[in-house]
Amino acid sequence: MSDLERSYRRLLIVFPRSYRERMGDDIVATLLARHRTNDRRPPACEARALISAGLTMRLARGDDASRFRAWHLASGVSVALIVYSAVLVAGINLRGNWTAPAPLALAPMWGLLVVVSCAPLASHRARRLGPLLAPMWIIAFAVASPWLLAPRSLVVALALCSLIVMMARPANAWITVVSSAIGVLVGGVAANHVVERLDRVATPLPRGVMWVGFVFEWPSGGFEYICITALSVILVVGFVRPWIALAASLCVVPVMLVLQISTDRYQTYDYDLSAGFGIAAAVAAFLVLSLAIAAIRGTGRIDSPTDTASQT
Amino acid sequence: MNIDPVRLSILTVLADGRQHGYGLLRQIEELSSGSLRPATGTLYRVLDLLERDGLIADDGGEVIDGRFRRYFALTPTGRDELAASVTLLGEITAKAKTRLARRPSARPAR
Repeated sequence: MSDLERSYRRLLIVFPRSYRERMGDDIVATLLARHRTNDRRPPACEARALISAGLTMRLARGDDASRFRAWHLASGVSVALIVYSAVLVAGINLRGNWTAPAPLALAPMWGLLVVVSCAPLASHRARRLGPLLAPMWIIAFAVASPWLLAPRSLVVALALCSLIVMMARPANAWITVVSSAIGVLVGGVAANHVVERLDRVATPLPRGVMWVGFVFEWPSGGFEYICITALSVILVVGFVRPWIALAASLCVVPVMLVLQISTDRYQTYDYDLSAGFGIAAAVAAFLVLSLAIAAIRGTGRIDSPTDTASQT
Repeated sequence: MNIDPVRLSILTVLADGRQHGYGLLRQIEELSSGSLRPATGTLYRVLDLLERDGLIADDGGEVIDGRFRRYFALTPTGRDELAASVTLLGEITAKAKTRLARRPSARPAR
């Protein structure tokens, strides 16, 4: 087997296994016949097209087990990132003398939530837990953020979450909804903290960063904020494909992380988690990028009508 | 109805008989006088969609020059769809020609 063939076969890993087993040899034969080069690596355009075709097949297939796995892998990663961020936000609260519970005390709760959220990775039956998850996450955040403890906000949040879950008809949409909502919520909290800190140290960061923080200002605008979040999630899920909403929620995380990293520089005390932030940001950025590529190619000209029709 | 060029070309090539991926690529290029050259990944993605829609079907594999080739064949549904697409394209083409002849200048009317 030549080096070129070996690298083509490596690329085919992006395709669902059942498809690869049936079509892999033919695809490799086509590629080798088409490009009779002495190169050891595939042409960039072919590699790109193969990766996007494979990702599209994995993510856009309505009835394929590998789609289910890819979906939940992405969701699991996003949930893990969000939990990680949430613990850090709680930590910031503590460092900034906010009256939030210590992150360590919350660890068992976050752990339980992650296990429950990732359960669908292990079994189809666990998908029934879906409708429970959104309220669970909201309660968890209510405990973590003292401002949400106001009964009014909590009731509204629970009601809206149930509504969202009921509206999300596709089988896997609940996890998108949860990811989106939590991503935006965590992003808002973090942005708010960024603004707090900017005020304190009077840094010359761009006005746009400040604006993001004011939009998501938590203590004074909890109620309105939840409404806006819920509405945008409903809009996103209603008009776009569910997994694009997941990509959108993933977008929030790196933005938040970047904001956090940029403020770390201006801190007067040491912050020992910046490296972790950087790694998480890189992972999230990679995920978002691949999902975005798959989204663009997947909804492109070539297969849009057929693709939409088959995604029921 | 989807009148995407790659999709239509695949159906057109297969209307002439079964074909494998590489053969399809070569004939598509020939059909379009070289203007249509989809990436290999794109071709297989469209083939997968066509197969799931039942317009083409897996027609078995054969070893040619030491390489395994998977063949595809047009199904009756695929033949119907191709015919319908051709009719639609014909109508659009006819209308386009009429309009171009009626108003040769490219300037939009006010």
